[in-house]
Amino acid sequence: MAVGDYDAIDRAARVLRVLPEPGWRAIEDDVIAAVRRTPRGGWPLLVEDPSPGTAEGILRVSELVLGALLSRALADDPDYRVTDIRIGSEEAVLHSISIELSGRYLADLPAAVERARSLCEDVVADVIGDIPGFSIDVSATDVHR
Amino acid sequence: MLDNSWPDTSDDIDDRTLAAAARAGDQGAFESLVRRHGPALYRYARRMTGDSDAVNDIVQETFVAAWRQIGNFRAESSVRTWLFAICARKVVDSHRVKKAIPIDDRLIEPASSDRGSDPFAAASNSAFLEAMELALGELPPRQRAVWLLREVEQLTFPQIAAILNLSPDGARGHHHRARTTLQQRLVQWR
Repeated sequence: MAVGDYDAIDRAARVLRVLPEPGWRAIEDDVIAAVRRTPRGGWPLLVEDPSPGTAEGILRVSELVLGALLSRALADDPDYRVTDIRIGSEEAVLHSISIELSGRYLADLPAAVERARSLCEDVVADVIGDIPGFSIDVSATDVHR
Repeated sequence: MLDNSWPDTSDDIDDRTLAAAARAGDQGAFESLVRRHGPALYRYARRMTGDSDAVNDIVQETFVAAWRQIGNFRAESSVRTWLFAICARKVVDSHRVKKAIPIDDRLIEPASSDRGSDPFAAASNSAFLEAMELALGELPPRQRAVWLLREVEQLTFPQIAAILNLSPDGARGHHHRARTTLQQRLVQWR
């Protein structure tokens, strides 16, 4: 091997890159289980009582649950990808949702934004109920092919 | 409980989309990131760490920490770079970094004395890779880390610098020294 001749090492690197990692396969499920056991803190959001006056107490849902449901609802549209979801609340009352999208190149972005907004409204109505005065801001801030 | 139905290996869902969903609270999206990046983090930790129990702990702790912290991840770096940075810290924190181990030259001699033979040919292929692993183990940890991230994981020097808390030029320097050492140690395989 002459000085500066790294061909064999370069080829070894390529082989090392694609070698299977059976050790990973052996622990993959345990890693996923460990993640599932790990709680993340999210702000509570008040939920509209579906049957007012029938039971005492209040209902709350974590903002992470709402965020997860929003992300799932917005995942299937081929014209955009969600790049950020932010949920704002004050004293446990939802007051804003901000969604950023990357639009598909040449897609009708205003229409895509409107579809995303409508889906958000549906999810909020399902999860939180009919709450007045909250805002949904959806914007396309990036484009992808 | 959410139905974790993000496609596990779908290449058309990019990391940024999965990270945004995970940040919002979608554990299924995060699990897709775990499955996508787990093998690379595992192979990095395996070559940086002395024993297999430590590797398992490091990789698991990396993803648990990432899940806890993903609310603060704002895509200034790629998801891959961010995960490697967490993993590299876990490797150091484990105090089980595989030290540079001087090895007997005979261990990395080629199985065949035919200098013209291709090291990747036939039976010598696995022997060459074994010698390569031994030579990698002989590198000082930082050089080894830089070489692995550059040559195996194909990250850029600025990304490697961010992961290992170095300057990009520092990363280049470690890479150059690692490459030179590997070349010298494996010269017989030419």
